[in-house]
Amino acid sequence: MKKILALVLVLMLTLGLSIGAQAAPGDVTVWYGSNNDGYQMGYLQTALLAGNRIWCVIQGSKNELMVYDRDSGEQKTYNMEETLARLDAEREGADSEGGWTEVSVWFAWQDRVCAIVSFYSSNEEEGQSAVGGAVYELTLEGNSAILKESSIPALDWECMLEQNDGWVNSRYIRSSFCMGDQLWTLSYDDSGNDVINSFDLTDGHSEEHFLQNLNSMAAGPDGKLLVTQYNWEGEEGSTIFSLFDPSSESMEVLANRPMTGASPQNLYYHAGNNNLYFTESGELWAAENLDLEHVTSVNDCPLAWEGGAVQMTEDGYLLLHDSQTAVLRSTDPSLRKEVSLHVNDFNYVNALDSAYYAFTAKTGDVSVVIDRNGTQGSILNAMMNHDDTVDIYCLDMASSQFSVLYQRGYMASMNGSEKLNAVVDSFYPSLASAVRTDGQLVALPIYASGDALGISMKTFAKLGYTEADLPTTWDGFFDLLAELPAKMESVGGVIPFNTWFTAQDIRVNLFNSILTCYQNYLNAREDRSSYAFNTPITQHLLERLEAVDYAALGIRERSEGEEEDGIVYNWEDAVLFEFNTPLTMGNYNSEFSPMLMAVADEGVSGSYHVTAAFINPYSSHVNEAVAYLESVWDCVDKASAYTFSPENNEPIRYPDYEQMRSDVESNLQQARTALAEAVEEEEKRNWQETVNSLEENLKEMETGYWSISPQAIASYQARAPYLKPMFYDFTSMMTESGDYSFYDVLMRFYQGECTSLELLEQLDEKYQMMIREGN
Amino acid sequence: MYRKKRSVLPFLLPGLAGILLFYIIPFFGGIWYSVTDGSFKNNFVGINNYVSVWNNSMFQLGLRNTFELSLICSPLLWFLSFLFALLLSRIRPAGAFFRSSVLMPYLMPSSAVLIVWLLWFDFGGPVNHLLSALGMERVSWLRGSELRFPVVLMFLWKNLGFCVVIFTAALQSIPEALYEYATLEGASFTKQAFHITLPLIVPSAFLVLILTWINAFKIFKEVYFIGGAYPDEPVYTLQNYMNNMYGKLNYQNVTTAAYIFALMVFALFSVLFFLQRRAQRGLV
Repeated sequence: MKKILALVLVLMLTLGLSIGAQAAPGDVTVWYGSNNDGYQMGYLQTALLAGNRIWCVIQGSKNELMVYDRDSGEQKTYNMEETLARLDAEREGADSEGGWTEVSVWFAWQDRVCAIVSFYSSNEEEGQSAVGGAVYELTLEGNSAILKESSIPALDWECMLEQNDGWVNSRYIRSSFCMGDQLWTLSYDDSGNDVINSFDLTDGHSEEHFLQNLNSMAAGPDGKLLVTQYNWEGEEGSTIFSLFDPSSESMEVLANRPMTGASPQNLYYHAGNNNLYFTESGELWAAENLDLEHVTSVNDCPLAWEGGAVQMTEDGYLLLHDSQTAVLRSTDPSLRKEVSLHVNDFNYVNALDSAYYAFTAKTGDVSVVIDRNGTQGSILNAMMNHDDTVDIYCLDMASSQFSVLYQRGYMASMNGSEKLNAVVDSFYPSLASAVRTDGQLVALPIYASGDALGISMKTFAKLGYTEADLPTTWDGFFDLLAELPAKMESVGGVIPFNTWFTAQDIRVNLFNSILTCYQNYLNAREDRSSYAFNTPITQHLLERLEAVDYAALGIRERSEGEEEDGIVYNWEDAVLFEFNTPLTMGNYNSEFSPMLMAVADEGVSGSYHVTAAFINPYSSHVNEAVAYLESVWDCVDKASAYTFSPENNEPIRYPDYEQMRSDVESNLQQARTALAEAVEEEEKRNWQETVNSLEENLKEMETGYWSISPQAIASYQARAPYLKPMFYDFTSMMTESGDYSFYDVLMRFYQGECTSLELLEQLDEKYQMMIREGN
Repeated sequence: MYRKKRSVLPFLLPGLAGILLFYIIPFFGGIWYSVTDGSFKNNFVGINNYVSVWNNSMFQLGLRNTFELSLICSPLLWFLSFLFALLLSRIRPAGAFFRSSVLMPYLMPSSAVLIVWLLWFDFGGPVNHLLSALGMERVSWLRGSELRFPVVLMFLWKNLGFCVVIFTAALQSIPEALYEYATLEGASFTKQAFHITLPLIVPSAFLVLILTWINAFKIFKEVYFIGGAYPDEPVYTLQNYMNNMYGKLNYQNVTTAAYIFALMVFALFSVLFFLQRRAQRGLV
């Protein structure tokens, strides 16, 4: 039962959700494709307004069309597989060498949803070539969406083509919209310049305009185009808003808007009130009468990226979309909710964003503004000024900002939430205690990451070693490296590291691994006054590092001016070690297991970074913020959730497991039937091979098609007692101190201009000063 | 008379408001910071911050280095600028050109000049080439206590012009007749300098001394550009300490260190003002 519930939950989270999330009355999340656990089920190709219906073309494991009817609030999904397959089949039939089709651009015109379909031809001598294109119209028949040839005349096609090494392609179109009877598209030419194309949909005539550094484009007033360009001059850069007149090819600058970390996206000009709308930092902004010096926020908007063309409904709602989301947002600020939560997600934690949809659907009277691209100033400064602008922050727990805010009590208590307290109670004790102070829960871990040097046990066994031979100290590791040349020679077919790593790369990577390990060793002591890097332990280990005989291990030295082409890739031999093997719960299956090693005799240990969300104690909406974090927890990626808590131990299948299995089983059934009906020996043999292969696939799927496998859980839970979240990171501290000479020293070491011992000496000198200064 | 004084008030008000807003309130606000613990509850901790900062070994190191560097830099700068001003005032043709030239380093941003400075004092740079040519050992100028030399040199080079300008202005106010009379009496250049020039420019000389000392206390950019936030100990200044504490968001320690230092500077300058007044009474 538990498994079924878990499966249903995962499916709900990962399948495209169409939630009636509301920020203002009438606001709707038309479509949202969650990418929880790094598994994106579908992408939105376009969302178009035609009449009072919104058409969302979704590309995923299946191509679908979802139509949302604004009058009834109903939505229906239509199959597009057949129509796309039919177009391909028609091209294949029309071209003796084989051909296919591709939708280059979707657009809505006169309440019709249309597509420009490019025709490709495959030719062994000339490669692939775009040989033409036509406008199709999307119609609905039963449960299918059908692309039919449109009555729109053939468009002047030549300007859409580009040549690349003799191949002819249709240009990649970044955005498109209709202004009157003209279809406008923005793409690149062969030299990377921006190209604006216009097509007259009544006679097919086209025009071409070349501009540079365009960021986005939308319809503007008086037949002009509204364009934005980035200006990187100055410290922060700015976005230049201009009106481009295609008839005279002249540009009129409207404003130069400073970026402050974020830039305006998804432009829409409303001729009715002469207002310009755009999204920035999680909000929808209006520039009345195109006055970009005085813009006002009119609504929240969860879109993370620049999307396709923005359209407006007759009742003043904007349809905005990117590849993950399509929303309708009111442009009337009087309709905004009274309570608006502001969330800073400068660490791009997916759970903080994903929670928006579930939370706003559940809590209709609170809107949420998620700022991903702003500039994170000093949070402490904001707190000392009792600033309540931001309600929820998130930081790496190893950062000095987090440490200071935690120690000084600048985090609101979440003890009011039974759910969050229960969640944290289930965490490993080292993490649970780190987010509580004076009995108050003050931070919620939402993301975990960490890695270590990994070893392939399969390759290790091939060399004749057993698990008992695994090194548990760095000394043991260097002993193993010394033994390896002889072992590798006797066994053959084994290489210590992937061949793209040079001796210099390996030296730096091993140094970093030792440094991290040594830091874990120091952190375990908790007495920071005795924190030192230049000690007999490190000196000994680094002497051993510098003594590694890379030539004997068959590892090449980096040559002067080496280019990637010069690397000899070796896919045949088995690799023994791999850097950056996840220490946290892995959500993919790797043959490498992280190695936990001690620097001395203190026992093995490892550490991982945790990003935690916390609430501004000066927030006016602490209860709402707590409720939002409850939703955030539901969206935390499973790998992190499993890393935090030993109680999470149910394996999880990939969301499309059932579908994939059903497909394979269906194919297998067909193959078996065909095998039974086959008469010819060769035919029988071929079908038997197919059956065998599909049976093998099915078996592999059963054992290997896991998002979080039973083996991964067992492996993680075996090492979890030795892992600790990182709360004090020397490298982060040095980086945050703004001491650029720290980088100079590191770079000199990376380039082999100083030994690791010299590096330690210099780093420690700085570090001791830092320790003596205190916090 | 009384009416006149009252009528002055509205004119003074904007200036006084500015002083109140930008100097007096922040000054007392800063004192409040220095006696609290900076936590969410902002507990009053009395002089605990002062005790802990005073006892901090890095604060002590920074304070010591700051005073040492200022004691090296300010007298040197004072003396050199006085000398330069005297010499420039004697140069008749193209005197204005030279006076303007010495001001140029003051106008140049330190960061732009630093790269040249780093090249000069690099282990394989021209300074060490010169030492080698003279048969001396090369020196690691950019590490350890040797780093003080380029830092002091850069400070002198940068600030000399400004002090020379003040001295030159003061020198120009001395009546030429005094020198003519002294020359007729057979007084040498040195005697004229110390018995006519210096006594007559005591207020300006004192101003230069105060300014050079204040500037020397603020030696930081030069050190920071070369050695970063944690330079070698001989050049770690109080500004480094305060800057690093700011980076660690410990505003309590920043303000505490600043007030301790301000008190010390206040005491020092009080003594200097006292001495100046006595010197003026005795000499003039």
